[in-house]
Amino acid sequence: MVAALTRRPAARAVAASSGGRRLVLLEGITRTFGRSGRSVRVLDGLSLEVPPGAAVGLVGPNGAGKSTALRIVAGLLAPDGGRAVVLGRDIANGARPPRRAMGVSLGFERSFYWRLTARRNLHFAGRLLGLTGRRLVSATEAALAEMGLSGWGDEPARKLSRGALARLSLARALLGDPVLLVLDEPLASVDSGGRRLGLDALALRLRAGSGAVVATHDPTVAAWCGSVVALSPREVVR
Amino acid sequence: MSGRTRSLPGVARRWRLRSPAAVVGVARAFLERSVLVALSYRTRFALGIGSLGLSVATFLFVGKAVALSGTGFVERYGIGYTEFALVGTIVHGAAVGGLGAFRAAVRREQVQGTLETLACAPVPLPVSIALSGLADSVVLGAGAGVAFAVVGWRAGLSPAEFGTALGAFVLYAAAMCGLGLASAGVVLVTKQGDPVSWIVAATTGLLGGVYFPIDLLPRWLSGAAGLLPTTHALSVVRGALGVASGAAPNAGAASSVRFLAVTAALSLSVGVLVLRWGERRALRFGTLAEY
Repeated sequence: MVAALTRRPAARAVAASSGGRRLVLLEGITRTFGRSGRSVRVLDGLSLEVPPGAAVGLVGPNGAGKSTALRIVAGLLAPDGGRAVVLGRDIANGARPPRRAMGVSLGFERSFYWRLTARRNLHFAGRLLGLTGRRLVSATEAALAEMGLSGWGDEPARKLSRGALARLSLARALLGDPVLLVLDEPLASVDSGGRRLGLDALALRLRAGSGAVVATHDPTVAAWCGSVVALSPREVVR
Repeated sequence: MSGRTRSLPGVARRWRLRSPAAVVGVARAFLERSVLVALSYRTRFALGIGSLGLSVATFLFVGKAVALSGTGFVERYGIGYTEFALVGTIVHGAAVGGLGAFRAAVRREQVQGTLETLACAPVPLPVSIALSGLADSVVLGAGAGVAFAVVGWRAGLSPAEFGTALGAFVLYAAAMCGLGLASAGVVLVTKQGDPVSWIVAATTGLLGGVYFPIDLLPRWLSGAAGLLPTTHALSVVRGALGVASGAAPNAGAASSVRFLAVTAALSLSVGVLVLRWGERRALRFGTLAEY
């Protein structure tokens, strides 16, 4: 796994395509929810950069816009204004981010097919990434092992604890060796052993040139991130 | 840095129908998932098979009753009422199932929280929804397919007649799938309450000749029935069964198949457009994960 990650032609290609400086560039991002009468400005001029090999933490109180910012980076939500370039794509102007190069973990508890086993859930995600045959099996087993879930692979997702689901979500995000990780509370409810595995797995990707945007309330995870962006509480606009 | 980078070799290629293997791999993922999920609900699976058997038995006895009443159904329509209603139920039921499968796929992914996960995959969300609905249709429609084959075999259809009937069925299903994609696009926005499915299910059940011949309808209604793909699909399939029973060939079969082909092409085009509209709107307003 380490040898495969250290080559990272994918990371080099993306870094080169974005001027070699940043995987994510947000400049003056604004986002308001609601319509006439009462609207809430969740993001008001958010700016951040994620260079290759770096993790940027998003911190702030509930409702400050951390998850909104992640959804914008993941291409699940359009910003109202500002500039958003993700892996070389200007997503604020309607371009889709290159999802094959991204690993995303948002709201892990309800993001799995509960009737399928942990392993089957990863197989499904891997197939959508274009993995087949032995590559699919080896990538899935490696992801399960890396997050300490090898013994849980045949358990239906509905029988996994919250912590195990968080680990599984991170394992899924790591499938396909992504260049950019977009993670919302990746280690919530995870025990100390799992947290060490998760942070080791993320550190390995950063050393190989990947980048990460991580929303968290966890001081340990925030401290682990190389830089932190603090978001303010939302503003109600009438 | 500004603007869209056109090529990111090996990493950021947009997902497209690049090779048959890629399409098969993704389609297999959805089909396998649907089969495993369906089999995991064992009671529902068994009840579904039981329902099909009960429907067949019901129409068998209704057909016997109609035969006893001596209305001359066979002389007039070329086949007995049992076959008539069975074909209507199988063909229309499978197609309506297809119509609802896409909407149901969107609702299920919304409610269980996996829609955003699908949206984060390299496969475009409309393609994922289409494949998800198709996979569910295949699983749920497997019983209808078997019933269709058994009816054809028992009726002694020749390969040519069977091919014509199957072609009409597939085109009809494609037309309904197009409407189903449109329905899914609407549900991405409205979350619940889909007028497309409601209108189609309500009108085709009454006017499509599913349970009774459309010439029993008042003239103004039977004219409207002629505009429905259901009417044409059932006409072709029943016509093939009638030929196998010794009735005259269905002179309108070729024009009905053409009508179905045009309807399917139009319906699929509109369906894709509405689904993409629904996706864009959900992303714009940030409501993709809501339900």
